[in-house]
Amino acid sequence: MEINIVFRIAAVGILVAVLNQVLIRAGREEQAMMTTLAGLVVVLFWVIQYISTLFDTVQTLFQL
Amino acid sequence: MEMGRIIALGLVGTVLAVLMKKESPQIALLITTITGILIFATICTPLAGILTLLRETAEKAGVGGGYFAIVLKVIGIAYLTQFGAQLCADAGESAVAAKVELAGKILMMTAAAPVLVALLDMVMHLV
Repeated sequence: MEINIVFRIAAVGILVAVLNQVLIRAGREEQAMMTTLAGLVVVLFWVIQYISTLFDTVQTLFQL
Repeated sequence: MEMGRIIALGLVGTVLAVLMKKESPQIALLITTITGILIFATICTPLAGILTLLRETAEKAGVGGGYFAIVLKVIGIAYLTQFGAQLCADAGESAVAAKVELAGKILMMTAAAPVLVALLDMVMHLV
């Protein structure tokens, strides 16, 4: 389960980058901006779950 | 074997982060964050073993239990501060990284304050 989260994030990043280019070529800059933001929000949701698990493990490990 | 997995994880994360650096630096930063978290997750269980071992030897040697808990707390704060400050510096925000490190130092001082007070008392009584 470990490594595929990294691959998923990279896949979303590449997809958003490609979509961005396509939309810019098609002349819709604002939609390109929207897709970048949407991709970023999705990735942030995943990363935040991992960050909260990190903080929990550190808290229990070091009795913070 | 454990070390192989960690190095593989680090390399794959770095390559993907560098790949994403040009298109979108934010995603590259998030990839480095996730790689850091996953590497910590893999070393978490051996670390727990070492900490329990240290705690047992500390109790056996009669060293004050409270002091060892404070040492543990300071180490935890140091690790988290390092984690956050390095990420901010990696993203180019050195000012934020400096602030995070300053806050970490202050929190470590407050956590270690009782030990300082006890030390000063001991020294006072000696004189």
